[in-house]
Amino acid sequence: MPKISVIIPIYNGEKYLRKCLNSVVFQTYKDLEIICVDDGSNDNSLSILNEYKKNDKRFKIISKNNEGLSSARNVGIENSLGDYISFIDCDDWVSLALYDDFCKVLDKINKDIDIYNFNASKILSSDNNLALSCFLNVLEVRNHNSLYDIHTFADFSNPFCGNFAAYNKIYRSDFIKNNNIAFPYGLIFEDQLFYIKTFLRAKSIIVNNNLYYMYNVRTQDNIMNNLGEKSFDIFKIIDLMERDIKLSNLYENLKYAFLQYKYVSYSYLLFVTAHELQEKFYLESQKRIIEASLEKFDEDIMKKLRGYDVYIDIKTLDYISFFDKYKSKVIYDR
Amino acid sequence: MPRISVIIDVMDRKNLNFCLDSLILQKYPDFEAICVVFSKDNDAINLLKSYSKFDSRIKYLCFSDVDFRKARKKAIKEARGKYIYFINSFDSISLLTLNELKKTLESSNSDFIYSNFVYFECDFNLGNVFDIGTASDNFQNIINNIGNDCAAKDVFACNPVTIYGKFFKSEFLKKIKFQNEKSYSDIPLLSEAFLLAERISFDRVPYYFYKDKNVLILNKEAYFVDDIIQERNLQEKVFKKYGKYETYKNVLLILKMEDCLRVLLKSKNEDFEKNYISLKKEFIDFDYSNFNQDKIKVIKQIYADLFELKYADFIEKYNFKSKGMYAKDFCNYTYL
Repeated sequence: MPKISVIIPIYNGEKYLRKCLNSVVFQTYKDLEIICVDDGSNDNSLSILNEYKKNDKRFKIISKNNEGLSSARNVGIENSLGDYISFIDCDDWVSLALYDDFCKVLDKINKDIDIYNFNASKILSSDNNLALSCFLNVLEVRNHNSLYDIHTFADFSNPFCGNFAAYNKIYRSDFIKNNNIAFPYGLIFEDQLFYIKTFLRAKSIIVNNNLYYMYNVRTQDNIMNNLGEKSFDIFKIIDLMERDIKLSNLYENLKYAFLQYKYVSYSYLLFVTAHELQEKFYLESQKRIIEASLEKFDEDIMKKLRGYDVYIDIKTLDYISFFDKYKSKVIYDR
Repeated sequence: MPRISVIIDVMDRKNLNFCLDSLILQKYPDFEAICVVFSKDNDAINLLKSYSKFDSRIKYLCFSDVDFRKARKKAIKEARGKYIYFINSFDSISLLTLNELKKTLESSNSDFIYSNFVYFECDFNLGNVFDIGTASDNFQNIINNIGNDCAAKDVFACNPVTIYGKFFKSEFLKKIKFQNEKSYSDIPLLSEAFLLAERISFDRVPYYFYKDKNVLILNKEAYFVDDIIQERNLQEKVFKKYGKYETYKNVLLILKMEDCLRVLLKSKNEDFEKNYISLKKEFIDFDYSNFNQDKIKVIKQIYADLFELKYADFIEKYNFKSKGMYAKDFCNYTYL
């Protein structure tokens, strides 16, 4: 039975940290290595971690200066000794049967799996009066007849929709390390790049649509509502993705979905960019979409894509017209 | 003292974690979850140990050698909440369930809520909403008690399907004087609740997610014909207790005969003989004279054929493979 490294990056997570750690400590599957990377918290997080370490030998605590989520996760990967790697964010919690069910699947298949992809949910924290729960898309995969079917990225019907997170997968450690896959240092949208890098290279993916990961939408999480200049990271991320996609043999499978992902991302992020930078952001987005569309895309297929009119508008409208048209519309439904 | 007691029947480990997760995620936090474990399944018990450490609202009672009805009786007695809700560990519930059902019960001042559920297939194809029916269905409306919210109430007294997903006032449930422990299974218990209640709410919003696609009779204990006969006989006693037997005896007989037939048809090979013998024993010399001949005509003929024809010919004659095995396929219900 494999050892699983659970990597938990922490930054000022004291509010939900105990519940998160408890959901790992009380897993029915015990052979875990629990790597907590404290990314320079200045609240009680570290003392909570030390308390857990005293009572449970499986804990490994790494303290570092604050350098961001990518760096914390990478440090976790570098220090992991397990056969498989799992990521959990410190505000969330997981079903207590997650690793046990995973190992049962592995046991039945009796082969190495590169990626085990399960489902996660979004729940507004209980402080909030609205109790909405929106589940991530049921993972739509072609030729999926049983839990034990082995897939590749080519089987995914919506490769760029809603499955970007690192925390709803368990990765084979050698697969990550031998391919030198890491999170991009200093950039946001790091999950998205990691997702593309891993899925492009994975030869065996298992899909389990059951809900194992409970994601807490942080009420103070206005990060995604006002990115300032960080929204410009999307251009770098997409360039890195594009390079990998073109080098793989999946470009033809992915090109429409990838183009759609580009214009939907740009149009959504425009509205969370710092006000004074929005025009610059728009011009860059427009330039890129025009360049991308020089390649031969079948218009009939394009017309069927969600947000097709966004695609046309971003190519043709000036910034003011685009902004006015879309400022109150929901383009990117999460 | 928690406001709501959730009684969870735990047969085995399957889906148990998802069920408990859906409770932990409830918007309404003030509940205790009493898990009643019926098997010696160590995996289930280990998981329950872990969950009870993770969340103190989750408790479990082990009843491996005890009849589930006795276990349920004990769980109801132990429940400290003002309200009681029943779940099967194989299923799960929507995050707003406890919040909304509590609100409904409080605002309507009812004794219990009979609510709707969504029926999922195991591979996550979104299932059908099992609708509790309205006046516009085949069922006629007879108002039994004052102040009910739905006119088709009596239909459900006759065929209440299951206790899972039903939300009770604790005080109401605890005051029911059951004849014996066996009356704690779904059909007699719910019949009693329906006939005794002064106010019942019907909630058509589906909060409860059934996941077992193989269960047509959602009453889990109905595995043998003998069990069905016992259940339905207990139900008859309940109707007699409330003076309703004469009005509903035809329907009760039809339901009993259909349920038994369903179990027989679904029997595993090793159980078939036993079920067939039980069926024959109960019905071969049955005295139908006190019943409305018109209403029982169809099912009576089916049974006559069952006992006279070769089994293969019987199956072919009625084409049971393609028919959905629901009461509506056989008989039209009219109660008067």
